[in-house]
Amino acid sequence: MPYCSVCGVEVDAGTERCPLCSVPIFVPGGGEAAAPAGGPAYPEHVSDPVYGSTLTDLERRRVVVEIVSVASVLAAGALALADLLSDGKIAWSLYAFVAIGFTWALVFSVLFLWTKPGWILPALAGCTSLFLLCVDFFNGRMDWFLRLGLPLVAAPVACVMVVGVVIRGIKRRGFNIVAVVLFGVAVFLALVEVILDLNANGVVDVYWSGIAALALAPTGIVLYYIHLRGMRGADLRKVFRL
Amino acid sequence: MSDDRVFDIVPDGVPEMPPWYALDHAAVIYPAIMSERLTVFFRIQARLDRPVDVELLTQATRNVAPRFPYYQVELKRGVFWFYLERNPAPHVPVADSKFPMQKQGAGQQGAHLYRIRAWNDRVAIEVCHILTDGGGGYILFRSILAEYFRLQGEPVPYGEGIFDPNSTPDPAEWEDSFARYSVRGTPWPEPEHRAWHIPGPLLPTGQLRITTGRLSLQPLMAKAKSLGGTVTEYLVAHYMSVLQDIQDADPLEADRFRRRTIKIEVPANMRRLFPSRTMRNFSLFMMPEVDTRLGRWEFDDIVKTVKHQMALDLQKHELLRTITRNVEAARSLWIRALPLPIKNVFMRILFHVFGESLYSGVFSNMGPSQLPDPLASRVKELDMFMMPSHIVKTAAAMVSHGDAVSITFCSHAAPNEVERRFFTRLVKDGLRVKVESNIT
Repeated sequence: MPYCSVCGVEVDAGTERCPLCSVPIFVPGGGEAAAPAGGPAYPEHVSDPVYGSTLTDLERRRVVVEIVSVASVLAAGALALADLLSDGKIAWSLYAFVAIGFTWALVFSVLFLWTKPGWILPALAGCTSLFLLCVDFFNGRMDWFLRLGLPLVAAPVACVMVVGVVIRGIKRRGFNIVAVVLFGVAVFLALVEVILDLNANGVVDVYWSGIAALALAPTGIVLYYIHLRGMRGADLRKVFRL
Repeated sequence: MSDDRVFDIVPDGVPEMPPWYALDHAAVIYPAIMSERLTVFFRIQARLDRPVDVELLTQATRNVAPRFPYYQVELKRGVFWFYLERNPAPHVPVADSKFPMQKQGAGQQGAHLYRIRAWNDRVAIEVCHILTDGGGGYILFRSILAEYFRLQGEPVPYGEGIFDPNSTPDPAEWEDSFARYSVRGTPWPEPEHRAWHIPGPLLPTGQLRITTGRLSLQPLMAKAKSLGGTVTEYLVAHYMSVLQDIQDADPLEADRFRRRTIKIEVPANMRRLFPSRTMRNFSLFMMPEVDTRLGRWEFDDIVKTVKHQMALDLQKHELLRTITRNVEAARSLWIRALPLPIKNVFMRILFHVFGESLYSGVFSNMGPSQLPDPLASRVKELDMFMMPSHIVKTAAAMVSHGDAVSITFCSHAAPNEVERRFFTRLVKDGLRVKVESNIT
């Protein structure tokens, strides 16, 4: 029987390489290797049975969107009918339509951008901005969306995207990731305070976000420092003279 | 026999076979942890003396199915627990694949939890552990094989783990023996330490390397006996030695005192210790280990420690601890009240912390094939496969048929270091080993 000259194990006739070490098989007598009697041990094709009602991921997502769409249309129709019957016109139900549409858009965005996670956040931000714009528009004054609503949506999105880009660009990942996130949170809190101050008083008076930054920034710096020292193989006992 | 019979999955006279039933206490964790990598399937395959007649195999499968009504089920999702519900769809044998035991289908609507596969002269059964363990799965496989040969005109006798398709299932066959033998108030097992796991990259998802070594039983038994152990103890010791060699060669394990121990999970059939006729899960495991922080272990010493540790682990009183823990934990009101999605998250964490983290490899010995003549003479080779998790990476299973022993490693690891070193060690011990694999 043919055997592997390295491992010492025997193999089926016709086997060209050792299943363990991939070394060409030595055939005693130097003859041509005959094919194994019952054929190879395993088929070459890769197939598995598919039972029952199987749906692909995309089909599942389509079904969910379909169900949410039908439920949204029914809910909007029922609310419109109630509004018409009670007031004789479409009035308060406009807000409900916008809320239903917003929910539908969120579900749709997440499910259809599932394979492109980088686009989910901008899509959610767009949906939220549109929702706030509609709510502001319906009160007839358009007095808070541009000053408050849009900046409060844009600030977290911008912070998350910048943090994401920075993290993506980091080659050696460790505590430095946490540090970058902490810096991002500090910047976000500062932006929120600036937006709120400008709306309330017209001037910027950084107070609570500064306190938060005083806690977050040193922690981030320490983590970044630990990361730099640790990744370079430095002995922390030597560094800290313990 | 007509196909209609499969739809009558509860034959007349079967008392109290419920239309649905709860998973047994060993199986409750499997649906939560089941994934594309850890499919929780095991497989038993037989190579016959001539090519498989698929039509006869289909007929045999359908004839036997009503005798095992508790296996004609599908997995359903409840609010608090998964459960099993009757699935009247007939079984259809399917072609074998290069990578067996894939999850595809299992757990989905209308999917059976076992499948029959055929290729050339080979018949295989792949069974999800949600349904049963190797003991139950092997009885089903033997019964299907016996029916197949009877349809070919062979007078295969019933008994010895071969069920007559026309006999009536005993209610004891679908009992949850864990619940029966747990004793309220029994102390739970002592917590175990995390074990070492072989490092390295994994094969792509959906791929599994199967490496089977075939050797003769008599020289193997003689070799094991010369070292004062059984065949299982001898092979587990070799498995541990291989892992020790890999650990020694790993630069990250250079500091011996920071190493984790090497443990092998060795499943044991509880039906041999507790009087049970259940066809559902009823197996626990022994966990021999070597602590490599103490220094390098010589092979003879590993055989000795494996022998004694396995004997201790197999004590009935010690096993009662694990049985009781499995049952009592599931009976806890807090756990029962958790909705299934939350429970699944907890189950996955529990499996990682108290399951796959605790052992470095798996070695299962199904024992002798116990096939009666003329069935035994028509089966040329018999193999058993076990699916490892991607943390443990490798699992080995052995079965003997006549004088032929088959040891099969299933591995998610990209390098085949464990298998190569294991079989090479056996060769160095003077044993003749023939090896085959689905990936060369």
